[in-house]
Amino acid sequence: MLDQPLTRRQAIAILLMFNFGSSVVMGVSTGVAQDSWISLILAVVYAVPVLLMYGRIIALNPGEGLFDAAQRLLGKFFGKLATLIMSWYALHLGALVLRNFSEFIQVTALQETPQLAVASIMTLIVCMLAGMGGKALGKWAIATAPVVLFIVILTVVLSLNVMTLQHVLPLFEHSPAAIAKDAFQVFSFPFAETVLFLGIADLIRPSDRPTGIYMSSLFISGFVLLIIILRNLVVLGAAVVSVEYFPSYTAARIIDLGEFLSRIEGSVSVNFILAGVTKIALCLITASRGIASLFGVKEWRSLVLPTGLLALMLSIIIYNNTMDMFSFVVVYPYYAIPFEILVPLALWIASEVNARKTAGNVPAESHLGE
Amino acid sequence: MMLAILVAIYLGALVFNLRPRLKAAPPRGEVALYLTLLAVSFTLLTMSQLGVKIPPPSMPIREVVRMIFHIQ
Repeated sequence: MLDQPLTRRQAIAILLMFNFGSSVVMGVSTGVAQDSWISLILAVVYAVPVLLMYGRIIALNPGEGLFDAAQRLLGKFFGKLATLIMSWYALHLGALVLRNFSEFIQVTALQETPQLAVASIMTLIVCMLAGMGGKALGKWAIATAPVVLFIVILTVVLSLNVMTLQHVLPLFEHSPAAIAKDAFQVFSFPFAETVLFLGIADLIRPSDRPTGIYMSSLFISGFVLLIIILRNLVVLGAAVVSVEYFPSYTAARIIDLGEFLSRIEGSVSVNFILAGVTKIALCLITASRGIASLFGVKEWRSLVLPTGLLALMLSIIIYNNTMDMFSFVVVYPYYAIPFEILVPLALWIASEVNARKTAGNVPAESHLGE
Repeated sequence: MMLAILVAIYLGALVFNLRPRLKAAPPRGEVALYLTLLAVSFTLLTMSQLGVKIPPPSMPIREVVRMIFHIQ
């Protein structure tokens, strides 16, 4: 069963929701306290060339997903190796987000409920969505992105009375090197994780300018994450933000408008569910397509459920506890380099070489034909 | 309790996901891959629910990254 192509708006919405993923609740890196908003802006700058590269890969390989392009351009061995590496990353990232979700639910609401119960429900829902394919994911993202944006705006507006603008001062208290290092962390999580979108790149129409899709989503999500960071900072202060596991949730808890509007933090959980489902579903689609490509299975949808259950298993065993999960954040940017930069870079170079060869061959062949 | 839920999920996968696909007579390798993936996740999940300590995959990843990049 072939998927219908995504519209430009659907593709942008998927990438937006993917970027929000766990970031709307966990926030982005807070390693440089009140300077974290500067590091976010710097991370967007870092992400521009890398995301342009992802877009270029799609543009150079129209109608081909990540795995088909890898196996055609890199040869059988390296193509399969790239497929294996990227499938692992998709599976691992899906498991990480699933674990973030179950940790969040356990810490904030269901302390006595085993994480497996929460994660199982989420997995089954995500498998259902992923099994419907990329087009369904696009429609889901289009429907849910406005909800997430509305909730972010709502929490900002409602927390105006508890904001202390002095919390963002002093500016540049951290060294440029520390801010640049923190920006690298924000770059790798969440912006460069959008490399997994290449898994459904065959659903993008070449006329929709893939680089434009990537850039639009980067700037919109960068702007929204900037608002989230600043909201958390001015409401909670840098000291509280840096010790909170889920700063957005804590910031929303403070909102208390007179006697009639309080306990608004539930809306932040809704954001996490909606964006988290999108992110895990895309990870799952990419992982299933990767595994199917690796083993020569024609219908990748048949592998969605087993792959989802594999991600569920991984999410349960991947960390010992909540602290372990948050300490992995320090290692993650380095761990992600091969998946987010090296493999796409190899694919991009191979695509450029192939495109030039093809462009060089076409006039020569037509000349011979004459 | 969690074990019962696990068994129910995996039985559900076999009955409602795999069985309808078998009617289309997929290649044997595809079915074998499906069952292998299910078996791996079921075994490890069951072991973790029975209290068997499974080494988390994040540990070796952390060690390798720290060794290469010399980060704390």
